[in-house]
Amino acid sequence: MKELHILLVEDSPEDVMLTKLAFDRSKVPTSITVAVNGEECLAYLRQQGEYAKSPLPDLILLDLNMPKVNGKQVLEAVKYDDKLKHIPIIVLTTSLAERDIEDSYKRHANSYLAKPMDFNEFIALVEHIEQFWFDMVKLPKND
Amino acid sequence: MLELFRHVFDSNFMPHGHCYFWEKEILIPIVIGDGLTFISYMLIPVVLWRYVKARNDLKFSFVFKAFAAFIFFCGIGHLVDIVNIWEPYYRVSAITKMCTGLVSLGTIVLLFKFFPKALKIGLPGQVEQINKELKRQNHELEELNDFYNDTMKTVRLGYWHLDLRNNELFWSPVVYEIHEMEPGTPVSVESAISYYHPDHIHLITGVVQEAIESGKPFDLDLKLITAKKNVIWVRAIGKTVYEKGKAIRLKGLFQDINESKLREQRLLESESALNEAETIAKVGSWRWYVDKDEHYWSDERFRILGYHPNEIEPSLKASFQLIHSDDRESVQQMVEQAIAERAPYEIRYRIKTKDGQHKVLIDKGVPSEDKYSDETLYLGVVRDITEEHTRERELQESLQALERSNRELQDFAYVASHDLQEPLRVITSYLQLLEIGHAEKLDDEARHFIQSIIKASARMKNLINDLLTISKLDTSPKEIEPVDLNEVLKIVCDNLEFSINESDAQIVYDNLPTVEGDRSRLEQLFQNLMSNAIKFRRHDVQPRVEITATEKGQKFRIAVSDNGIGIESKYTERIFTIFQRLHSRDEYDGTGIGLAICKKIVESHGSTFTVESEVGKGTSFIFDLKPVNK
Repeated sequence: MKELHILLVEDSPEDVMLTKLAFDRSKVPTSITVAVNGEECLAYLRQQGEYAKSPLPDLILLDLNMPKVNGKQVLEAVKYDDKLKHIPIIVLTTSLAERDIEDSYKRHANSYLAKPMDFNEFIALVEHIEQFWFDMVKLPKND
Repeated sequence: MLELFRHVFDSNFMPHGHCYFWEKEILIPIVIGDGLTFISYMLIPVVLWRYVKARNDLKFSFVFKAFAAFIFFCGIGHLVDIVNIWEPYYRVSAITKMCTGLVSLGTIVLLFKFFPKALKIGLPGQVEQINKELKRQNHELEELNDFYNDTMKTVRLGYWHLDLRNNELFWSPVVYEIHEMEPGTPVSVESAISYYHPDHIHLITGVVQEAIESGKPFDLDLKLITAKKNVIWVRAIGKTVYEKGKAIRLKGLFQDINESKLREQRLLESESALNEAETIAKVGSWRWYVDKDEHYWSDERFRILGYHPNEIEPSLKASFQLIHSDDRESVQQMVEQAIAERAPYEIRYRIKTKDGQHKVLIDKGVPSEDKYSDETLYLGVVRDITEEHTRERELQESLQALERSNRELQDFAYVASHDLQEPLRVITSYLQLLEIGHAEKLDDEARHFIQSIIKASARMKNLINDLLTISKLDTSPKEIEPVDLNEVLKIVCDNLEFSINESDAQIVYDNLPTVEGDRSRLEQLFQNLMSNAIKFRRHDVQPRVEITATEKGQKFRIAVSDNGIGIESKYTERIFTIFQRLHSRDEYDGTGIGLAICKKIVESHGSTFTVESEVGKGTSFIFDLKPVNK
């Protein structure tokens, strides 16, 4: 099975670790690259500076609430960029505010998921993500 | 000549009778003729004298007097002629004849002088003519007099005079009429004065006294009490008449001015009432005869501009000059345009009054037609709205502040939902990781601690969610649509399926109406109420929740009733307050926000929210919903 490359955009190290732990427990082999804010995420995707050689991810997990460039701005930048807009973006956030949900879809988020309070539920969610995005969905090939 | 008078009665001559030879047929006729002539000549002057005395209007009485003297001397001459027949007093005769001659000469001189005047004295025909003319004039005068009397009666104007020498007072008939007295009744000065109103007696006494003493004329409006006790207004006018520097009479006019005075008073009253009303309302009024460019301002119009009434000449220029320079041009333009179109206008502008005060005015003008000419007339009012304007601005400001704080609250609620939950989730997740991954290293006590922390975090999460819900109710708009309550309850029952099954609760409703409201909020309302009803059930009976709707006037009265534990009446107010809980968490879980949310939803649908409860029997929550407008 091909290893899937996920770009996790998350400013909270605790959440980064939780997400990594959850993916570790899953069956699909994944490699996770972390961008700690929107700025870093965009630099990575545009392969700027130190990321010149970095490969584009298969999937982006995006938190909304971040310092500097926030999640919504990242969505805008990626979804209006011809070279990047094919990459599926899953918004993964604590917020259940309707405003955030609406704003995200308007910016062409591919799906919007709320982080569960319970870690067990979080593991289940991660399993669902893998199942859907990596088993069922056919993704374009990143070269 | 002296010789003549020295021997007047010497008669040493021959008597005149010798000339007639004492012939009786000559003597007798001469004596009789002279005698009769003498008697007649003596009577004529007497008659003339008496005539002159009786007719003191005679213009030329001296002619009569001179003629009488001439006849008298002629008569004396005839008497002397008789005497001279027997006694020759010829000297007397000479003197008499001399006197007669002189008197005759005087008379003829007078007659010559009188002659041209005598010619002017009319002939009997002319006199008749004059008489006729006089009668005609007299008639005219009478008519004029009647007319004068009628006029005086009509305008109720009489005259009076007071003779200061004997204190006799005369009143014309109209004066009596005004006093409501019989004309001709004698009146004294004192009684005349006593008819004046007690308030005015001192006034009339004063001016009369002054007129007598210093000759100052008077003209007063006074109150009078008539003989029939009616109080009326009269005008008394008087002045002093002098004769040889001495005041001999007061004379004057007296008029009934009651009606005009009352009219004038009423007019004054209504004018002052209007003025007062304008002052209270801070409204000034104005008229503008556009073609003549004549302006009339009410007192308040002046005051609004900071002037005393009539202190400045009302004009358009005067109005514009006080307008704030930023507003002046636009106001001028708007007025000019309205005038050109003969359209009404309403303009709001700022002014700086004479004393430097800043005011905001609203000026309304409407075109009207002048009744007496075809000219364009604008009528208008100016109102000082400074206070309202200030209040409006303050209101606007506080509204903006409120909007700002509302937005901030919304932002806060958003931040709370995200930022407060984030760490909670991390806490919970890591505790679970600890429990799962390191269970074997923990003892029972540690695991218990972990469980407590997880539970507390879950409560915290509920609190945050409820707070978010309640803040959303305040900040997000309602979406009003027809809502079928049967559908709402079906959804709520689905949502509460677990607890309904677990508690074996019986939910009763039938044929509920369709109402006007926000669907999701009504779902929340019923869900909160029903989950409360199930939560606070009595454990010895099967829980039963009944939802009823009864028509009440224009609304439906909705009741959600249960057979639960009930609420003590002293707590019924407290339960609606946010975070107020009646039970410990061990007994019943909850955030204490649920009913506060319900209250907000009900109130946002325009109803009050009440509770009826009996401990140990059950509770009913009651509110009204509007039916769908057809």
